[in-house]
Amino acid sequence: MSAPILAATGLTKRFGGLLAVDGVDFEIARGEIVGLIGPNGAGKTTFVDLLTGVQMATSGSIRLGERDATRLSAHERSRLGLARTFQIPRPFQDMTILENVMVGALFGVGGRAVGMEAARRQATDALARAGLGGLADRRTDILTTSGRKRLEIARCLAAQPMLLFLDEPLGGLNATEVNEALDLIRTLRDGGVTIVFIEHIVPAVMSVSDRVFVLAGGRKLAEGKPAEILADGAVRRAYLGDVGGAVRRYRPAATPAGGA
Amino acid sequence: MKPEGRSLFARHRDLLLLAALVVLAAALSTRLGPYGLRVATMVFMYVALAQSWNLIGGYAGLISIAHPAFFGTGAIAAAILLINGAGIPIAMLGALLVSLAVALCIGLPTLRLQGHYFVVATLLVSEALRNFVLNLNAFGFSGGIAVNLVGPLGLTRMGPAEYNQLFYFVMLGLAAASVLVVLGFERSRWGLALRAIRDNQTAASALGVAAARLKTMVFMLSAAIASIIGTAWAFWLGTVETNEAYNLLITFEIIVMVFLGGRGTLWGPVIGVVLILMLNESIGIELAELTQIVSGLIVVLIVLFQPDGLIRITTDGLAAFAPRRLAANFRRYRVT
Repeated sequence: MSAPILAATGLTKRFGGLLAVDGVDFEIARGEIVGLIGPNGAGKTTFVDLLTGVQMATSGSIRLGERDATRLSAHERSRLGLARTFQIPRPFQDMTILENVMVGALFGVGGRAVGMEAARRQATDALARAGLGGLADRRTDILTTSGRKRLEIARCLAAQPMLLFLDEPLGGLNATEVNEALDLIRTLRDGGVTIVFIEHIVPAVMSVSDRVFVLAGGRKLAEGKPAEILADGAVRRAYLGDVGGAVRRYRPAATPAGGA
Repeated sequence: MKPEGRSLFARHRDLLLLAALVVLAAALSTRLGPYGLRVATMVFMYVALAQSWNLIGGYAGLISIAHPAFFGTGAIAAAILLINGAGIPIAMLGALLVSLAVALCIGLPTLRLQGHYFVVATLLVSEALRNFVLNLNAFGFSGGIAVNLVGPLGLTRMGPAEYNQLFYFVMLGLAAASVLVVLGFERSRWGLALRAIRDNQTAASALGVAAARLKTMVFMLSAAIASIIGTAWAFWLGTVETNEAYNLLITFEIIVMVFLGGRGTLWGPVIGVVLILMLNESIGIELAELTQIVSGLIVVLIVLFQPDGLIRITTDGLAAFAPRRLAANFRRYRVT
């Protein structure tokens, strides 16, 4: 693996008596897609919260490239190149869809240099890439679940991150939408974005990830290539059950492009 | 946000409207009698105040009751400086600086609070400051006693007509400037960021918005405008008294005005100011106690049935107040 763009060491989060994340080491190299899986309550979202600065770690350290990012706030990490979507989408409801995405363009990586007109163009472009072109001037309450997830992604794209965290982007989507979302993730990676991808739909994670990282009870249970994880006895017992057949059968269907 | 390629007129519509209103007001200045002039000056003052509150309460969505602290300090600090021999410019600038210091002291701790905690905290510090000033006995100033500024201001040299005209234009200028500040803010990246914070601070921060810093900045800006108006108000009255300067009612009134017209909009607060002051002038003399009941009712009804305010009429026409729409709003925003 080349030098990691993000490296966490001994990352720990304690809520009173509960150890939500317990001494986890994690690294990701430029251009990778890492799938983050684990049973409910494994600490996946908390782990991403710690990495993106939405919550502060109780102990442990985080490096972003050469920089110590452990105490940096969410907006400072965003400006260093992190972006994330939320499991439950958090649209800015009193804004148009375009304005939502403009926030990412104006304040994300290098955002300080972007003027309003440039931000508008950047946001329009991000909307098109996320499959929401044509809805720019509508309000967010017209969006379906899938549309709201796309809006989350579009806002991140407009921020031009080098490392993107997707927190369950496939939850609540139908089979066609899942395939479209997976295509979008591959396209993003091909465009140079490194991706950490939390998901419960294991076959989807396995089909798109270079490496899979398994959390259980706040600890790292396993880490490896998708095939290795599927073959790992501990992972199967903790989480997967027998999904080997499902993965072999999983073939993304050909789907029409576009559509929210 | 409007699409690109808007006509020159559409892009500058708000500026043109503001210019037209200012020209109209300037032209009216010679036609209004003393009473009309006084009411109009009051309207301008309230427009400026409402816009200053609109920044923090409307765009940032933070229901701040700290406004009396800034308005009052703008008035009292200027008065203290004046009676101690400072010139008018120094008194104005000094009062502004003192108010900004007060705003920083209030803002830094309270802006960490959310929802009701912020509202209650700002209310309490405002009242605490009023009590502090009321008990202040220094610099030749005594909290409980009205300060006469007519002499130090040199107003004795002016006739009443000239004097009324002067403050008519001072307040008109402040009102226009405050509308301009809101307009510039609304169209800037900061306006967008503030609305993002209001809707979802976590998501805004994750997209790179420095939420805490921006909220503090807007709080200070809002305080600065309120303080300048406080100073102008003290100069206008020519006499200033602590309880009046730090009066909570003025802030409650501007909150009603902003909610009625439409918080977080450019023209909503202006509409709210005109309507509420018209109401006060029409029933306020004979039935003063009723005006506050009516204001209270208005704010409750608006919040329940049309939280976007009367400004909705300009986009949706009367449909904004169709019974079905009001009922839908009531269900949508109901607190359960």
